[in-house]
Amino acid sequence: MLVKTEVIVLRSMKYRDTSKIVTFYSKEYGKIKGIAKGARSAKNKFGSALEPLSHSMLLVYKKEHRDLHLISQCDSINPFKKLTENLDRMTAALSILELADHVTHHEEKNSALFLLLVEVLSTLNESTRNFKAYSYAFQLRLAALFGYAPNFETCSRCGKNVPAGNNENQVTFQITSGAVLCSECHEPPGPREYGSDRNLAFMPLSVQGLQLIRCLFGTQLSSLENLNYDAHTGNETEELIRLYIKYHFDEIKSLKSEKYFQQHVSIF
Amino acid sequence: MFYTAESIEQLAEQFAQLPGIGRKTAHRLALYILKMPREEVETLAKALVNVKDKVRYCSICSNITETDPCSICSNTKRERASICVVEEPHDVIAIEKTHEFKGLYHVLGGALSPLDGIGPDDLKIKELLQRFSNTTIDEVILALNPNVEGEATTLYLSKLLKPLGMKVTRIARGLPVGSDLEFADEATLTRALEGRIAV
Ligand SMILES: [Zn+2]
Ligand SMILES: [Zn+2]
Repeated sequence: MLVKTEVIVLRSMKYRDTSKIVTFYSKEYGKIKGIAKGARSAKNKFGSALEPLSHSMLLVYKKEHRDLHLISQCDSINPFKKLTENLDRMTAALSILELADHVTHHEEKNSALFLLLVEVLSTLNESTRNFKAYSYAFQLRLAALFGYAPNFETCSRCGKNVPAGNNENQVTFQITSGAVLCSECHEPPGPREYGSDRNLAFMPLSVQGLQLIRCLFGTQLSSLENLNYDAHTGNETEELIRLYIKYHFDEIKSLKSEKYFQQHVSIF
Repeated sequence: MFYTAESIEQLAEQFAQLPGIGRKTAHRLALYILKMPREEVETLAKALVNVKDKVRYCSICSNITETDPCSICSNTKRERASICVVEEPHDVIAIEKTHEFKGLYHVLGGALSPLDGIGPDDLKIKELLQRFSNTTIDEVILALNPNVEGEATTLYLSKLLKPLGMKVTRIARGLPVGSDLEFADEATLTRALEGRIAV
């Protein structure tokens, strides 16, 4: 059956002499894989529409009980050209693709995730700074889409709103429950509930860190580039989100693009 | 398929490991070898082993070669002040066929790929930097594939090389000769416009 669906291109692999095997995240069918014959020859009909990070319209012969479908046509909706014009921006964008690829299964529809991908890539494409913030904002929203929405607003023990607070009143974040504890209910970093790593059950969170993480989770993606924070706050928040995502998605043993973040992308 | 001759099975299995060769073709090739005269089979076997024994990487440009330095690096007629950086040895052949480029090459052995975990240390980038310490290089031409990996490599290398004070250029990305402009996709056409030159 020939079907048409909007896609974000997640991955592209060389296949045989001139073809490609391409993984898409599609609006109607979730993650699908297709083969594009002749896509690597100079006179191919696909142009840039099959390049990772592109937002494209895919026409594919979809067969039941098949993992690999034949790509008939693919036209670019938006190639998100600026994503590949800056190494830091590109790495942030690729880390988003890698994560989306890791946490999704073959042909399971989730159009909310598709829309989130389009939104985060298009805002990142237009952004001028804070590229890493887009990746971490994506991760928090992804967790929420899969039912692990973190709560940075109310204390999970007493239920009170957690004020932004000050440096004396330490707030903690519990990785396992994804919730904050206010300074009165606060627990020292301790051994409870987090496997063998004793320090991870409760993570201390600075005032600035709490503010930043609330922004990453709550504000519009398009305004992320206006955030201002220092390296320490960025690192603290990054570490917390990383642990939180790893805890909830077992599929992620290690993300290859993460190594790049650490080595090549300027702080946050 | 099953053959009673164990050695045919073994040979077919070896062929099947080659890129682009399926089970059926592998068996067909194995049977073809069986029918070939013994001398031809020996020549083939020798050619296979020779490739492994004689071919190595040029210590200057990392291209594959039988003599070190390779015939391009040791050619005194080549301009030594410009280096064209490519991903694979077959890219050198492609550019050589144009007869347009008179400088030297550097073969990276691949491209950066964050999604596959291929980083700068997996490519011959250190070797490239070493070349700048011995000789003066005026221009580095980045001739990498127009895809995400090639783009990442181009950005990385330009960031790395520009502070060293040389001219860093990249080959233009545009329309294939003989194609119709109206059928070009937006990205290609945009890049072609960006790379326009005065006539
Ligand atoms: Zn409380
Ligand atoms: Zn050489």
